[in-house]
Amino acid sequence: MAQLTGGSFKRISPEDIKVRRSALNQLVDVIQEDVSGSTTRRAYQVFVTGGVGPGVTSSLYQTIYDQDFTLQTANPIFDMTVGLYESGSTVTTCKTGIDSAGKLLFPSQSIMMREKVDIYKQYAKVLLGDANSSFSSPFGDAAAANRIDEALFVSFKRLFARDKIKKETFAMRFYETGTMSVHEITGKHIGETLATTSVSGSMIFTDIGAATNTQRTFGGDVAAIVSATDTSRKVGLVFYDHGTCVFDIAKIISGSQHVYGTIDAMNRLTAKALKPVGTMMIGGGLHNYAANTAGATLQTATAANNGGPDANTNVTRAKYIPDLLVSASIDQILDHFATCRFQSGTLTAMTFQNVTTINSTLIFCRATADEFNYSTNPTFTNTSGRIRVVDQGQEDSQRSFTFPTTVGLHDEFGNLLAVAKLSRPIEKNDERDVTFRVRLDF
Amino acid sequence: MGFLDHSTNNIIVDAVLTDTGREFLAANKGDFKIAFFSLSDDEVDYTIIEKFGRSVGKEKIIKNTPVFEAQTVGTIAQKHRMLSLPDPSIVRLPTVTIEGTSGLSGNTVAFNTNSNTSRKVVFEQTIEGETRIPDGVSDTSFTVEVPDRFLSLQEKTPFNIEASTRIASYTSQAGTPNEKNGARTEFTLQLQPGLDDTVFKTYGNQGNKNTISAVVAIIGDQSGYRKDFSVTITRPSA
Repeated sequence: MAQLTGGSFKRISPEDIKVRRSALNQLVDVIQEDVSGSTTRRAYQVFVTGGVGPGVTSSLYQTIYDQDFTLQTANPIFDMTVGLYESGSTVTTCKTGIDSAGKLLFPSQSIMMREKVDIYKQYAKVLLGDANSSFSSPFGDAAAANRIDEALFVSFKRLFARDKIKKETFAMRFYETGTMSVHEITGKHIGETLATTSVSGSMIFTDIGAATNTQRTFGGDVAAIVSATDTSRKVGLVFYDHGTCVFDIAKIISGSQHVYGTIDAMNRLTAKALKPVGTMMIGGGLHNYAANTAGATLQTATAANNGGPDANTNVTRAKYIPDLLVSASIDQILDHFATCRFQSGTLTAMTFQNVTTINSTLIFCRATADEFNYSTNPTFTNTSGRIRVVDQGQEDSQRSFTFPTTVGLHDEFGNLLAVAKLSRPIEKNDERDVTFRVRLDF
Repeated sequence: MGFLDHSTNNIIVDAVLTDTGREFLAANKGDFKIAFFSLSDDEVDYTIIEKFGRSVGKEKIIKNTPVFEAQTVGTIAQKHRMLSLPDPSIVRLPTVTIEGTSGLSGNTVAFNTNSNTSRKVVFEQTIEGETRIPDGVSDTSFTVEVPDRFLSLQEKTPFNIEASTRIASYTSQAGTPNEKNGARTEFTLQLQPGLDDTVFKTYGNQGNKNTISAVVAIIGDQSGYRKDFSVTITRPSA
């Protein structure tokens, strides 16, 4: 294209081009139903066992969508998974040894232990810079009580976290207390508690205080997640730049509660009548204890209450930590958290604001009084070429005017690179300077 | 494209990149350099001024002209550019014609795959009631936008082909101005080879698949004066 010299273009001087940076915040609100719903929570069954029974399949993480994930319009909001610290009590008490290749060995009653350890290591490597290090809340605290041995990881998708999470905007509603079984409180739930939605112990976990208590680490800015009712109680970490929250499962749930329910297992039989093959009852089922008394006898396979909740003393009955975390697959641990601990309703389960950094080029397009007062618009002139906006006979006193609606930005050769539209036509005449501030965002 | 919310008086306008702008950015060769701006008024109907007078007409244009959202297709994003002319008292502007173009009937140039595979186009600025076309309006070069699927400019190479629309842009230099300082250019449009049955079946007119209709535009590089005309390409019955 030819060099531009004519009357329809005006050169933009370098001082009329400014670059500036701004931040855009969006409020993200995740409702409980999205987390708990089976159609909005996507599992990827990539882990498959062989051997006894039909085997166990599970995801390594699950993705929460804002609507049915089979629809093309669904947007993924966050990924959720669990991890165990290799040197934490849950792993060390369960571990039977390490083979010659360095592989951790676990008893056959456990599921996906190595995968849970690997996930913890993966997060530790990315966020802490060392796969063998541990998360702790407050961040970097050396006290064993503050170390996160059992972690719930929540990683927000870039679609929602954008460039980062804004500090002091994160909050999560979570139910600390699982459904009470009949053996914990008389008259309480007699059925399986593992898959029954929590009704008590609702807590808000938030990053309040992060504005003044943020540390910069390998994975970016990090601050503690605390209980909203007692901010001295640290329950996790939020990595703002990475868009990931790490929760200490031991602090966000009552881990010593009795867990009772059906989980997948390496079993060629059923856990109890009407249960599918390849399942077992955690906290009950075959060989549970007959009574909540010391020295109670083990039930036989033919006992009347066989398959019911374990009636043994609280000391030996199966608990969420460590029993569920050891014996259940990642999918089933996540299923419990998603369906029970986030509850299922229209309340907000999680909320935060994201930050999008916008680099803008501001271009000041200055049209002086004697510029752009004529148009090539076909309606600007009549069939004989006479300008319509100047009345016949008034040529001496009237001047032409125009109504720009569009600003075009061109390169040196006239290529149209960007277009900006005005919200309404603006009059341009020979008594009027107009400056259009055009913003180009990147 | 929808209309923009005109309840705001904000004059800060957000720009969108055109296809070409995005292509230049993606190419990462440093071609994306904004150097000029232009203004245009595609939505405005100036006959309103004539009908309602200058005062009421202006108000009607400002308040009753909804503006479309920005177009990213460069060839249709800005149709009618505005002009800066040194003389503020001008009351007549040139008109552009393609009279003298071979095969022209009305505003349509007809091609035939058998007999008329090329047509000479003559583009000329004229002015009525004045002896000379104002300075700043007479162009020295033109951009010719041609549907590349069907047509090309004889012995010329396009400087750009828009990927999404396949509109090819050529430069045609102006010849000697006419006696009124009007710019004039000539070029030959020719049919692309290989206009086969598939092309006619795909792009042929709804009622007659033996005829393809398209539009060619000639735009003054300096003035922005534009002339769009139709072309029809007819083949013998399949």
